[in-house]
Amino acid sequence: MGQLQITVSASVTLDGGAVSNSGTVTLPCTNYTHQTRDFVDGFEQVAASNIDSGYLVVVNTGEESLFVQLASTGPDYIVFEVVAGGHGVYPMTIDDGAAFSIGAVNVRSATSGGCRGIIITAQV
Amino acid sequence: MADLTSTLTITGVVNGKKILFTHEFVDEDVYDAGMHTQEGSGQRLLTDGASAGAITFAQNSPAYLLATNKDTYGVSKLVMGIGVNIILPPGGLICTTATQGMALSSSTDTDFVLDDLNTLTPDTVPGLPHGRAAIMVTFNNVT
Repeated sequence: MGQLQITVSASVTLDGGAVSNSGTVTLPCTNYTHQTRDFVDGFEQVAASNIDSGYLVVVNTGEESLFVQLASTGPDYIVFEVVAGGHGVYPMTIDDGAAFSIGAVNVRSATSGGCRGIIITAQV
Repeated sequence: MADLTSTLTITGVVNGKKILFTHEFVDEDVYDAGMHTQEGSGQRLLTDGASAGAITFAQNSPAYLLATNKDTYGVSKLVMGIGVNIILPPGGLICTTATQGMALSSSTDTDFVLDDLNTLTPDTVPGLPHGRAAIMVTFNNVT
């Protein structure tokens, strides 16, 4: 058991005007995982259904996009992209308009050239 | 042109283990950006221009999205016009990036050509107090 805080802060200044946003989510956390892996152009499972009510963080340390696939316990999938050098923070409270319970999380790179990513899961 | 800087920090203690992780992402050549705060439900942030009261951008789909729920009690729902809904509990957030399209809601395992995000509408969740969604989007020379 424990507690985790995930903070994202972003800003950009255009034509002298700043646009910014930030947020901090505080989670009661029963399990935390951190893995660094190399991905190629086939989906590999990085998390299972026990993340269903938690958070997923993907950091792309490579030079091509990573694709993050949230697979439901049914037939549906939701996919996001984490661009080269970027990061993504995803709550598992997500759906495609119908009941969507996370069955697995899978990640792949855009091409067979491969890409390294850091996968962090926070299980509530 | 300008650079977007996005900083991720994870801190805490879980099962006796101290956690500290940081990462900075710099997205170059940002040429448009916007911020929208919506309590409860209401205006669309992005649209193809067809909806009255929408906040519009010239580009098809953002390259960066950071949405947070600023409310400490209520719940926000982000309705992406591509079949993806995201529930943000009090303080919740989502951050994602894109080069072509923003997300995909698909019934196939291998199709990952993402869809353009043309509409993004903050909404309420029936039976729960209203949240306050703060949504930041940026566009770069790829999208």
